[in-house]
Amino acid sequence: MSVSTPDKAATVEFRSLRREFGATVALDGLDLTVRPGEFLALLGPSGCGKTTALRMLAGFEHPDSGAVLVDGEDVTRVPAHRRDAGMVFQSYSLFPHLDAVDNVAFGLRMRKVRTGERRARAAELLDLVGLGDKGERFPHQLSGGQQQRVALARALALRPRVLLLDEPLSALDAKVRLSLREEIRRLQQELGITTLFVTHDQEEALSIADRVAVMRAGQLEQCAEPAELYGRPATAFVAEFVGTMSRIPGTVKDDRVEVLGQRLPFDGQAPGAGEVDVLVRPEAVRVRADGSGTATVVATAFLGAVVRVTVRLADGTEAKADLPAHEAAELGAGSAATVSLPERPVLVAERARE
Amino acid sequence: MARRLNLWRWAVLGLAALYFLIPMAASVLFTVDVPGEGVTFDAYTQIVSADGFLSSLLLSLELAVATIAVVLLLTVPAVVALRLSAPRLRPVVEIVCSLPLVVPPIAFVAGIVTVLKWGPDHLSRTPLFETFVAVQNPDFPVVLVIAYVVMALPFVYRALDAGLRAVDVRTLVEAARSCGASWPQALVRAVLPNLRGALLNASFLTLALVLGEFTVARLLGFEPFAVWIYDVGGSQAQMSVAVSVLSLLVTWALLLALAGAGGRDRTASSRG
Ligand SMILES: Nc1ncnc2c1ncn2[C@@H]1O[C@H](COP(=O)(O)OP(=O)(O)O)[C@@H](O)[C@H]1O
Ligand SMILES: [Mg+2]
Repeated sequence: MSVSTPDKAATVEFRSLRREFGATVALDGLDLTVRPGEFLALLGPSGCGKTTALRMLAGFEHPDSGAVLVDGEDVTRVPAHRRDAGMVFQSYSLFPHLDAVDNVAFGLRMRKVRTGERRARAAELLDLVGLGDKGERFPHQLSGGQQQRVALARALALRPRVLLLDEPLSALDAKVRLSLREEIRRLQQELGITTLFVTHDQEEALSIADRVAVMRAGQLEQCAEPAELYGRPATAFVAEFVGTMSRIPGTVKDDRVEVLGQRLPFDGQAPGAGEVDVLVRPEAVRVRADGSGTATVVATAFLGAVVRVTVRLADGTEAKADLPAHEAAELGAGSAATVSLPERPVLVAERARE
Repeated sequence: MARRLNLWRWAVLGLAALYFLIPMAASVLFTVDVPGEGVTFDAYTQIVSADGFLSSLLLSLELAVATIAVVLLLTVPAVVALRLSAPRLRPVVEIVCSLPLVVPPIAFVAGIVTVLKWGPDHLSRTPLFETFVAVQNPDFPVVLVIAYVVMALPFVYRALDAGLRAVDVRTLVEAARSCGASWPQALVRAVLPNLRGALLNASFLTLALVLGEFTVARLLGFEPFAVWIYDVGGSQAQMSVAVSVLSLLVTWALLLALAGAGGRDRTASSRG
């Protein structure tokens, strides 16, 4: 297809980026490398500096120190309109005075491409995002999802070296969000374009990205493939931000951690001997109805394939467990239960203070 | 209930219409109905053929065009820049732009007269003297444009500010920039077309202001349309009323023309 064929996908590097806004430190020495053709999700809680990082690559924001490199070339001083980066914004950003075709063709018009040629290419791009028949519509005549599709086509029109997406789905309703994110992924794979996708939704990040970079307070916490991020989080912050984690108090003693009456091995370094928290995923927690158990079921929530059971342990901490529906049937709220963990290495973290 | 409300609306509209239309109709009637002669448009033909009608009207139009151009060139980049980079300065700029509202035109013109008198006295040996002369050229009094720009500032600022409030300037500019547009291109191609309504409003208000302005022009000794109307109408009652009816019609016609031009441009520019 003539729409694709980026000459060669670009590498993007953030080198110890730092940016302060008055007293807030938006980026605090961010280091990150995006591989050629990769779909990288930038994940983190609101206010951790994701947008700021993305805007630095787009050229809308300038670092106090550090550098942005594209294909090894320092672009920190290059103005935004020569960055060769297509961007889709969080808010609806189509030009209200232009119809869909002209919106997509806007960049080509700036490049002085002839009218016929640019309209043909714009129509081609609209086809690509599934809106070939909506070219004559103005932004106010399009739904939110359609507007973001047009914005995506517009961002791709100049065959940019990198595609930047700043929470492009956050203003859409759940169903559209799901279908559009699959479409973005499909397009990205088809075009092989290096892509940075900012989101605060961990499920979104895990489901579409090649790798996920978790940010916290302006720094990179961990950058890894979704499965690794979920299965072997490098820090307690990542563990709790990605997916659901429960903290169960335990004690470290000679290379093992004592928790729920079991002695289990643990991954990595202990934060010190003595009192720790053991971090467990709900699917790894087992709950059994047991009249003499010390734990109490607090609540159950039906999630479709599984039932999420919240139990209160003897010492008052709460843990979440995902159980198949038939196992959960006898675990009504208030019933007594026993909680256990499988004989596998667990993750430990410093005891949280409340 | 809804019907009662509707009735009320019509009643209010009718009253307002009467309030405006009766004096106008009376004026028109007074000018065309000459006792003993029946209906005649003599008063109007007299005006149009009177000395200075065309030249004063043209002068007013030239002044209006120049004022609109200057005031928009000054304020548009300023308010856009204000939005983008210094939103905290907005109240300051708003107050500064509103100052002309609280200075009465009579005081304003007194100030201008003082400067115009003082200048030549002190600068008679410098090239600036020529500037003072040029500024007061009766064929095109630049000093009036300067004065009108200041007087139009509050209205223009408010019209633009209201227009800018309705568009997300930052996102529009950034979207344009990421599509390869330089700063001026982003402003002209992405922001201005979405401010069309506001620009039109600002031009409207400035046009109406310049066409109707009397005090400053008169006291500085120039003769644009409003001053000419006063001069020509002063001598004859019927003619003076005819003249005000005419000035009303001229202003309306011009505003309609401006609206028409703006509306046509809109459809023309939506094609890439
Ligand atoms: N232009 C700005 N002026 C002042 N503070 C800003 C600006 N942009 C971002 N910040 C601050 O920097 C921090 C990071 O912002 P941002 O990158 O937008 O976070 P995220 O996109 O991860 O939610 C926030 O605390 C935010 O308030
Ligand atoms: Mg953000």
